[in-house]
Amino acid sequence: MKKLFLPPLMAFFALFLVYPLVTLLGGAFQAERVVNGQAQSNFGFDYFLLVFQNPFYRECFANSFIIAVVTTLVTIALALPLAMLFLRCEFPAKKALNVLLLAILVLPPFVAAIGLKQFLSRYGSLNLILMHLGILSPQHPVDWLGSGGFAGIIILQVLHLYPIMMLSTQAALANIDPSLRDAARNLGAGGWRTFHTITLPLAMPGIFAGSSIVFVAAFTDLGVPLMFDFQTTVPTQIFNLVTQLDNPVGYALVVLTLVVVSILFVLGKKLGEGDYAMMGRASTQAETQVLGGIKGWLCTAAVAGLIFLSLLPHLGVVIQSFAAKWFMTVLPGEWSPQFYGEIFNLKIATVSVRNSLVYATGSAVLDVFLGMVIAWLLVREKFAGRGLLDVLSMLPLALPGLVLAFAYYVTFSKAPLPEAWSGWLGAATVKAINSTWLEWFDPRRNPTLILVIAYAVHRIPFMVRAGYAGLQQTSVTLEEASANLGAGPLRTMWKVTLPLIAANLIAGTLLTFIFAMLDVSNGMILAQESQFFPMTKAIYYVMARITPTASAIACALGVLAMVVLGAGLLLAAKLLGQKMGRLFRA
Amino acid sequence: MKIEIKKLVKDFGSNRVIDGVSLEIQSGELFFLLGPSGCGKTTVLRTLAGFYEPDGGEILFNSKSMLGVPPHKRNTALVFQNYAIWPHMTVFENVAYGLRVRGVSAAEISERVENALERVKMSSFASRKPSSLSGGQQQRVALARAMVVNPHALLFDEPLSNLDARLRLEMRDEIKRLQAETKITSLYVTHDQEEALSLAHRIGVMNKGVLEQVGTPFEIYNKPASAFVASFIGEINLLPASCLLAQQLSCAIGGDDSTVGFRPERVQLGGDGILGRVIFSSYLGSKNEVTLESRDGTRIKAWLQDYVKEGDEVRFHVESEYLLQFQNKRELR
Repeated sequence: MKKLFLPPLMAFFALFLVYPLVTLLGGAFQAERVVNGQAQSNFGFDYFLLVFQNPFYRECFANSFIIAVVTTLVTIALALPLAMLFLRCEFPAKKALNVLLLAILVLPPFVAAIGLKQFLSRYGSLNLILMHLGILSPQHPVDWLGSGGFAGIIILQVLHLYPIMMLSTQAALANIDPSLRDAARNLGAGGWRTFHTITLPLAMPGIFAGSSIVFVAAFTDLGVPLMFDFQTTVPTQIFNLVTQLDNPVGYALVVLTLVVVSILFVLGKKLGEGDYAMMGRASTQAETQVLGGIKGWLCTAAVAGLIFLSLLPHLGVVIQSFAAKWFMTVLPGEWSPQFYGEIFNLKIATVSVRNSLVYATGSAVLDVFLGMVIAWLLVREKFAGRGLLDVLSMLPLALPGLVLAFAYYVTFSKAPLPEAWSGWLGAATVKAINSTWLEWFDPRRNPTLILVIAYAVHRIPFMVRAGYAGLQQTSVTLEEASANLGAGPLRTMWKVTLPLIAANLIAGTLLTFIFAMLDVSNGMILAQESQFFPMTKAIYYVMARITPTASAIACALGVLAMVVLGAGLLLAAKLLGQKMGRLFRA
Repeated sequence: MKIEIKKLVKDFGSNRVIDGVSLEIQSGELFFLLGPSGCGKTTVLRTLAGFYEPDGGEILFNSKSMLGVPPHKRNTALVFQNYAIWPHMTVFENVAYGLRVRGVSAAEISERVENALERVKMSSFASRKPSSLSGGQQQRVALARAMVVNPHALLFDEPLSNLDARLRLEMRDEIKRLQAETKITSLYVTHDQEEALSLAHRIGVMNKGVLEQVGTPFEIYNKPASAFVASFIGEINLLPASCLLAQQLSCAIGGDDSTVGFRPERVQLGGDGILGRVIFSSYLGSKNEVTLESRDGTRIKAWLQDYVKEGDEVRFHVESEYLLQFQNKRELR
């Protein structure tokens, strides 16, 4: 088994993970100098200096930092009480609300930006309501979205990301032995004192872990700033620079992003682990307090209110998609389903739906195979390079979509072998290799293969984890029994192992599919020709057209994406039941 | 401080965990609640600490009702089964916690904490993090942490059950010594009869949420109030009073509705006793554990000083003062 699969796996990682990263780093750490009248390129930090000396890029970094920091802090403030409430109390409709929180996590904030704008812009629904109530004067509307949408970006990031912080915090809180709190209460500490001397310090690792995920997500998100047309962030600048293959500033920006992400990733891991491995077994079950009557319903109302707020932008998208006329009114003046019909008349829309389905299916299929084989090798086999394979398969976790997409773009749109190699390889061979390479991979010609691989690589860690968990729960003796009865390794895998871990795999596959359908960075960067646009890029493209129905059609497309997503999620939930929440934890 | 528990009732959902328990713990007493797991003993303790509100009955500390008083206002100190040492604080900080909460001055805190650690022989570990301590050491810290606040009552929740046998013996003596020194009213919950018999001033035996008997260790062992108490503590032969062997042993006493019991060490050989055959014998030096079968096929356990082999025919009897009789409970019939 390992002889069969290990070499191609390692080749895959070398080609689609290591090589692009090396190319990226190589491009960033270059320094062009004129030596003896000839241009030479050496190792150097020149481009980073260029970035830092430019006040515009400094502003971009500042903005992205502020977005990430504020988002992280606000999500902590929202997630901590929410996590404690869900862990310690019973209140009406708790289960349903929990599912809705997970739904928020997967709904694309990118499309929601359109909805949020409709509600919060100067003459959006909120201001109009306030004007009707006489609280706000029509001459001086409040700009809720902040200067150029800055506040809007943060609002959307927060509304999208607090559930993941909640999951992380909740896991940490659940790990705290309840007797540790009891001990503090018993020694005279009141509720608040117990919270800030015992519960909070012990939950800190989980909060740090969640913070690093949220920070990185907010820092590197491309879709939301793009939809607000907010140019001064790092991701939007990277997007703008991607087509300028020879402009090294793009490389430097991406590498700097990677540095920020890596620092946070390491920090999150380090602080996230903590040394609080709980000692001894809990002697008492954590008790949940049943909140009855008014108190319980108040909790339900508060949580439901927050969820409603988080879903409001998405609701805005749905409303907009049916809005024949929505101008200076709280809700649309006229309703019509015509835009769904128009999707099918718009070439870019139909093509993008087809493209997205192809990309998503392709990457899901590729990932089932990769995830299963890697997990199987890691769990069942011992071999040299096992640690390396483990690291490689988890590495994409630390690579935001933006970074990997950029690396792919610059790597695969250039011929890999330099002219200088013609000397010993032969000019013909070099030319043949280079042209085959470009023909297959160059995203400017046809990004299909590279997009499928990009989506697949992003989800490898999750697939491997799903397979890993499944395999660990399955006794190896079941496979041994099959081998003992004369079945070869491949037959055993197909007949015994696969069926046993099928549920885990299918769920992982569905999530890969959903991710590929909704991903922004890869599609934006890698698909440059409209005939290859995935849905997300088509939505962005349609939005940008200056026609009165542009946003309505974009929203109809967005709703279509959400429907696909909803169907996928329902299916995954059916297959996984209670384990659903685990899949979202990075 | 004197603790009174009056007709305590506690339900978890539809499950009645404590069903009318009443008992008094005198000031300075080391009182044990002994029973199998699930009998409700820990629930009694946690109700005393204030973690559960009773569904019926009352708890009085020095005649003052504790109903509605939250845990942190009760001044009890609990020693947890899993120690519950806070992993993010040093040993010193763990012990100092209760004093800080009580607003004790810094100078006094360091003095009292050092004293408390001295008492449990942990002074040299003050600056260590708990993760580097063994189970026994953690339990010592837990003891120090509980006692340093001078609580009205010490509550022990199976404190030794996570320790290995040797450490358990050591800590048992430690707890006995510390309680005797400090004279803090203590309630100790355990399922280990040896622990209870060797440490307790008085023992309450619980079963299925009901207090079956309260008495000194001697009374509990030698004058068990019910068949349950008799069989839970030590070994005992229980025979229906109606069976032939029971009638041969007890002559006059009896009645269909009762059970006759006697401890294996009370079985004696010789004289004109009842005829029986040794069907199993395990010689341990200090005693010989045998199983005897009487003519009617009833089997009993006996711990003898005499040496007998399997297959031997013997005559045995039990002195009438060691014969116990229990009225069968109605619901058990």
